[in-house]
Amino acid sequence: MKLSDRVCIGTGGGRGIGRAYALRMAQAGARLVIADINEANGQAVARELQKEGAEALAVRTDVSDEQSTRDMARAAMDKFGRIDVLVNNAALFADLTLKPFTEISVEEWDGLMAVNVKGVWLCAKAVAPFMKEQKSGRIINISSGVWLSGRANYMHYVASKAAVVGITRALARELGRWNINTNCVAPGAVLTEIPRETSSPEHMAAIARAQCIRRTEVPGDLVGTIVFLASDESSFITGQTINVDGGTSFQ
Amino acid sequence: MRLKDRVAIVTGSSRGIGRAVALRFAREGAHVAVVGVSDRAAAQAVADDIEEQGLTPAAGVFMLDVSRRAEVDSMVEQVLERFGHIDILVNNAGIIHPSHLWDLPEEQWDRVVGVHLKGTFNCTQAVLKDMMERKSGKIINVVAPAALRASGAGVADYASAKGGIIAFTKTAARELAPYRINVNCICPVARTRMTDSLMEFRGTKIEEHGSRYPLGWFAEPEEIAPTFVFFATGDSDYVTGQVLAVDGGLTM
Repeated sequence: MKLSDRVCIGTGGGRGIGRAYALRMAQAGARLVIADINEANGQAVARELQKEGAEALAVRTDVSDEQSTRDMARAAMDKFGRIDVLVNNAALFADLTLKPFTEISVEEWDGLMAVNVKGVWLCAKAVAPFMKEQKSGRIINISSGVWLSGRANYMHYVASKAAVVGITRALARELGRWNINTNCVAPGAVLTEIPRETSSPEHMAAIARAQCIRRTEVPGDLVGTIVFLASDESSFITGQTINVDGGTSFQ
Repeated sequence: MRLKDRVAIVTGSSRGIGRAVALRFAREGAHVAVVGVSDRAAAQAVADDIEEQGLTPAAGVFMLDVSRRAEVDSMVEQVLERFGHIDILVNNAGIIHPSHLWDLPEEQWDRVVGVHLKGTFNCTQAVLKDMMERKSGKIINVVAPAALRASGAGVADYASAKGGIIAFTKTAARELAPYRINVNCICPVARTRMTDSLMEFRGTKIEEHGSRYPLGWFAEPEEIAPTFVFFATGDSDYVTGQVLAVDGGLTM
């Protein structure tokens, strides 16, 4: 199996696309650390994986808190003895509301950046020493197609996801010599079990109509790319952002 | 095996990246049409390697010029006659004759653009009828960092042709998606005769290049081949019109 015995940390793995990533990585043979701020959700996914026969650990993690990210990495090391893959998926997303940038408060901006941008950095910072020691590792960041397309009344989120691409490239250049590959996946508008105010059915339908592949994206559309980037098959790929969006963005 | 019983055409597969892709596809269960242009012994050796390693038997060895439509059509017809379907097309055939822009002969421009760009068009159009009828197909084009960045002297014809292939990929992705045909581009760097000739022209060494890449090494064709498998399988069903660099981080 492509990820046999790999230890993979998935932030925000307790629900939505993060949960889908965790399930597929486990199916590919990985041992999973579910790092979610919602402890109950994280535990539920870990139990689900264990039922399938996979090894899994849930660690309550606030990615915006440095100590919490260190504890996450430590828990992974204590349980499994290594960290092979970090999927930086945790983000403020489903709870956001659309509003003109003139009405976004500084508190809201800072709170979003703390999770979506600082969290990516802190989780990378927490796992990098172990990956460097191993001289191998994979960091997979989750951006969004909106970093390329832009979207009105969504400036804080758009900016945060552009930052994730920048972080990806910076990490790729800085960590390559330790055989640590850093890549990014930019999903389109993904339909998950989590309701969100920013995506009405009309909005989702309009997006699907504009895609090459005219059906709404679901979490299962993303998992093949995540496993590919986590596996040895992508050993010469770093600093890249793959648009997994049914053919929407072409840069 | 992730490509069991699929039929794949891999152009330019008598050596280099194409050869590695042919072998890898055969390992994954695909019948591969090995396509070369002039060195029949090299193309036959790929089919022989496949057989000796006990992999899925090749779909045949074909010698042709991809810039000539009739030769492409004949190959596609023979593959269809034998297998009844073509699932994967890898447009990998290419040539390079490093030349400074001020020395580049018009005939060479036509030849280089003809093999890369028109060859990609020819092979794509030739397999479309079958793929469209079955509403299924994976087309993987091959470009190069030269198309994405100002990579240095000697490749104006080659870079232009590769840039054209990127535009072709995007427009074909849009037009063919209703027929469930994915069209993507891989932008690889690996040690091949092509890179050797370019390095010789520029007076550089592969080791120096590799050490400047973020990953610090230079890939062999075998290390590029798995990305072709990714784009040939259902793992990439929702990915189309994209260009993925497999180049150690050279291009970002």
